Amino acid sequence: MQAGWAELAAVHRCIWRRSEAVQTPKVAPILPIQAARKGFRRSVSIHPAAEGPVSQGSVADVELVRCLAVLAKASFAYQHHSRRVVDALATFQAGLREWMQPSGQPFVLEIRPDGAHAPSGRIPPSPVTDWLREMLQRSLVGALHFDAALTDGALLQFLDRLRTTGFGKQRKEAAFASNWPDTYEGLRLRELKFAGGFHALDVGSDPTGLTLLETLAGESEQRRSALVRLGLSAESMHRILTIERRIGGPATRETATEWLSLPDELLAALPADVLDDSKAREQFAERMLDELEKALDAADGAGPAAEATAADPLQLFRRVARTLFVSQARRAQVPVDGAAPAALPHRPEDGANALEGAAELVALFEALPSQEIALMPAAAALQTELAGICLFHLSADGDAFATGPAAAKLREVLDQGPTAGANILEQYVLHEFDPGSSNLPDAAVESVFRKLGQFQLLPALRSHGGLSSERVIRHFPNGFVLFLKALAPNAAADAAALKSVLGGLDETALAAGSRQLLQSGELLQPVMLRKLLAIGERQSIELVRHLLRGAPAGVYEEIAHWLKQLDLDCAEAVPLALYKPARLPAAYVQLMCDLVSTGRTDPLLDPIAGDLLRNFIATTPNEERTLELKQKAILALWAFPGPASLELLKTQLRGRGLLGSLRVPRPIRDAAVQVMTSWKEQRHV
Amino acid sequence: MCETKLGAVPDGALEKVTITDFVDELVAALVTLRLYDRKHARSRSRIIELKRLHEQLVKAIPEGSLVLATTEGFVLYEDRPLLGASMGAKKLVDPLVARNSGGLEFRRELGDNDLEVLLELLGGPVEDKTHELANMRLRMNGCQGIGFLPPYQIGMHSARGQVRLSSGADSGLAEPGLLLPMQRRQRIVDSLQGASINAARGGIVDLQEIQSVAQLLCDSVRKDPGEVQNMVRYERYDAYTFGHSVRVCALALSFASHLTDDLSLLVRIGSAGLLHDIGKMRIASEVLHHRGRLSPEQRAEMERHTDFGSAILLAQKDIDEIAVTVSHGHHRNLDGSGYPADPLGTPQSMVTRLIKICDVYEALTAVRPYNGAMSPMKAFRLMLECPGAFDPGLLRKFMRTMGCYPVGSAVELSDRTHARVLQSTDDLVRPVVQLEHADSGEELDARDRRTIDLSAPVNRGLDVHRLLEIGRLQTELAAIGDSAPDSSPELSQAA
Repeated sequence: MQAGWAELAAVHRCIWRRSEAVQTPKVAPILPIQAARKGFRRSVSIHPAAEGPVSQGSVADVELVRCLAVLAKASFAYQHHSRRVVDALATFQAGLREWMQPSGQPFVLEIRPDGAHAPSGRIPPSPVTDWLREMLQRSLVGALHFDAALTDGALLQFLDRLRTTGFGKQRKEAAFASNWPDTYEGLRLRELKFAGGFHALDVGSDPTGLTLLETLAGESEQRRSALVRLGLSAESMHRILTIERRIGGPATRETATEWLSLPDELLAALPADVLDDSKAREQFAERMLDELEKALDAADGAGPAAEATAADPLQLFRRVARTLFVSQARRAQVPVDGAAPAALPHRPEDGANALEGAAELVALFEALPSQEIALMPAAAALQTELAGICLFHLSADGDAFATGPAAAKLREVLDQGPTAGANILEQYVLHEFDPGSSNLPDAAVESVFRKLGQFQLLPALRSHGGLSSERVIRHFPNGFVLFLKALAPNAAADAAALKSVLGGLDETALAAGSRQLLQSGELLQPVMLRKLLAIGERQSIELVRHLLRGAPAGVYEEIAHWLKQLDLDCAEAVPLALYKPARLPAAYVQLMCDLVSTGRTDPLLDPIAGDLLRNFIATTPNEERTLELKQKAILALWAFPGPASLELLKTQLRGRGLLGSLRVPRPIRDAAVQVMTSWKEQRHV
Repeated sequence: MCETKLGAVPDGALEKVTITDFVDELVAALVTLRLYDRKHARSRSRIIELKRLHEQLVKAIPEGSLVLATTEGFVLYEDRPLLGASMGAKKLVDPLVARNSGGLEFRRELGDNDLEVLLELLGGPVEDKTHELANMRLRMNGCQGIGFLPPYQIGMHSARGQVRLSSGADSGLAEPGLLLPMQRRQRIVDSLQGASINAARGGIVDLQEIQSVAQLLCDSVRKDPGEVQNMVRYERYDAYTFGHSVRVCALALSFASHLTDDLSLLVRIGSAGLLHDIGKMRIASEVLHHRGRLSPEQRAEMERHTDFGSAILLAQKDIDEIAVTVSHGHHRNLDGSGYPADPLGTPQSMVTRLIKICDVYEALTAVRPYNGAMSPMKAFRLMLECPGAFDPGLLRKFMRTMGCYPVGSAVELSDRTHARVLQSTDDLVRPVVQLEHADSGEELDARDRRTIDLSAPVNRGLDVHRLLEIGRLQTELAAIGDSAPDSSPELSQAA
């Protein structure tokens, strides 16, 4: 077997050499390379198809075929009684009658490799007639003979069957007889036959065509059917037969393990979805043939081992086919001059000449700076970019999906060091200090700080975000609330920072700032106020005094509570211990703040404090649970002498009712006596 | 044939339904029902579409049922592999393999709930280890129109009167030359699908799997830069959203490998490329797959995919920061324009800029089912006309690396000879080429295939006249066909 193939290969080499010299070969099929093949496809080793002059169909024929195609399409899409079908049928029948009127000859539509042919010649290609030709070809119809006896019913019946056979899955075992079991009145169908094309007539006087005819004369129906099924162009079919001759084909049936029938193998090897696409089918088949020829060439030019490989062309082909579809699943479209499919949108510029503007492109390219590229991002830069993304998500409202992960990642970033993400975070802080300094939307900044607070990330602003005491003082009151929020309640350093801020604010800044703070109201929230007072301690009193000038009642309550916690050692402060903060008059709280701030008692404070004490003593019964407070109040009353105070103490000593004095608790009596004695000694009374 | 054209329109624009459409829709429905309840609108629309396709397909089949076979990771119809459908069908093939089944048979008439029952069974845990048990479960749930087939054997379906065995198809499937690349593709698609599904569910993305896929692609790109690009050029494969991500990843790896030798960085870049569009999983499908110009609302919705992407990735434990930054910033321009808006103008990492370039380049030059490809030269022109969009230094490197005529492309020279590009040079339009065809069209012998450096002064008289074809052809063919599994570690790993 190997020897036989080696001999054949030697013969082929010899023939090939001679063909390059453009000599007339003695072996007919192997002839010079065909030039000017389309695209980049490998040329085939056969004569160019010498098609004789083909006349174009007459206008009447072309129109009649077009009418038939329109009718077919309409009948495929619509019911037979629909207006479109009825109109199309009438048009076609009228045209057919008119056509047959002069001669009485039947109208014949033939399907040939180069297109559909009417009696007067070839029908020029058009989408609609090509579609009809494809339908007929798929249904294995080679020609249609229409005569005068054609009825509407028969024609529609034929079209129904055409739809069944032409559309969809084309069975491998499909044959003309099974496709067209019925007869139609006035319409005769002819089977599509492969004979160097689809019809013997198209071969003309071309010697290669005659060879094809001869070659196929003894072939099986299956082989013809495979060729029809492949639906390749005449050129490709010539090529298939040429390759078969090259590898020996039928002549080596006795020697090769299995004879390679290229049509059958191509049909078997093409994937279903490729086989389904007529364009892809042709393309893939051509590529397979390219590869096969290349493999054969390689075998011809190589040593005995390669020849041995070539000796089994069936395996050679199957190896080619097996690997083709994965590495070349789809050939890239030719982008420059390959026109986009007509029915699809395409970019008009793609049709432009590729060379147009090449020089300009090179100039633009040269103008680009040449620089070294460090692909690995610096850790700090990456962290900054990541922090920016996290802050982006925190700045967006409504997407709770991203908030948590973004906050967590930001915490990770910030935990990595003082510089990580600092620049980005500082931008937000700077916006808080000076809203005009950045393009950040106010809402975004507000959202970021709100969510940073929600996830306990605000303290990081002190270490990463540039929320320094100096900046707070400089921009006060902007950023003060944020600064306060960022302070840790129990951190000494934070307390010192707040005190330094509070201490660094002059009276003017406080006055102006407190008005703004009062307007925003954020600092007046109990939580914030409590935090300010708790961390700032007495340092915060100046700010508090300013705030109290326009503050609502709740603020007074908070401050009274704070004043109480200061545990001030003066008689004016005793009411703080006696009353609930909400029951203390605003003026008293205000004056007490002044007292804490200045250390001096306002003349207005004494009457208020004395009234508060007297009121408490008068209204508090002598009960065990209040005894201590009442005693404290009586002792504090010493600081507020006067007739009212003296009378109150006397009243307290007398008690109520007969022998009431005997029922006055001893601590009360002792305290009152002590105070009165003291007043008497100091001549206050 | 497995194509049917239905619903004729007089001007010739016929609807085209193929078996591949059906398989694609089946896989998509399977994925959708893993995400949503069967009563959800998306699940319902998938099932309705699937039913419609089934009806149209069976109309095109004269008799018998619709049989889909599976073996060796392939989906077969009429004993032929479906190339496009097989690439993304691991989600379909795996449940069948787990049930020791060789395919599915869809009868001509399906019950109302047959498809729902099937999809729920396939998407759920594997409780039935044999196809018989699986069939029993189908029947118990009222599904009479669909059946699991026994393990695939040659000629099995002939007995069912459906198909007959074709001699070429079976012999090729088990061969490593076909099997391994297919499995590799399936693995990539499967990994990306898994990641996307989990992302859409708000679950955990398997980052290790993504990294290993990136590693796989990295190995492939380093071995042969053109192979991966070709691998995902199949039109049906491009129907999946993942094709773009894989190509961007491959492009980025191809480019980045010219800039760094750091393998770990390359894998990080590859992972970032794969994940850069993961936020699209949270975009409504009607917007995501909208063809034509988007309305302002749709555009705004679409532009949120970068926010979603970074949000999804931020939620992942141990996520690589590069992937997050790339996912968030790959639509932001160097000058700060683009989206999402960044009023602070945060500087972007070089990797983000690199992926952005690759993303745009891929989008311009890719073959789309609804759009033609753009030549690299035209794509470069467009990119250069947006001076604020790209890092100019990086763009220069990119153009220099890719060239106007990518490696493997076929070109016609000014003397009408045809050549193949072997290597790009400093001159953008003057690569190193190898002659392949003479001006007469004759293919040259191996000894006559001269290599010409068009950028050399001596060759100044010769230009590239036009680009004939992008990509690599025969060179990869032989390489892949000859690669045995034991000689290629990455292929073995993939297998």
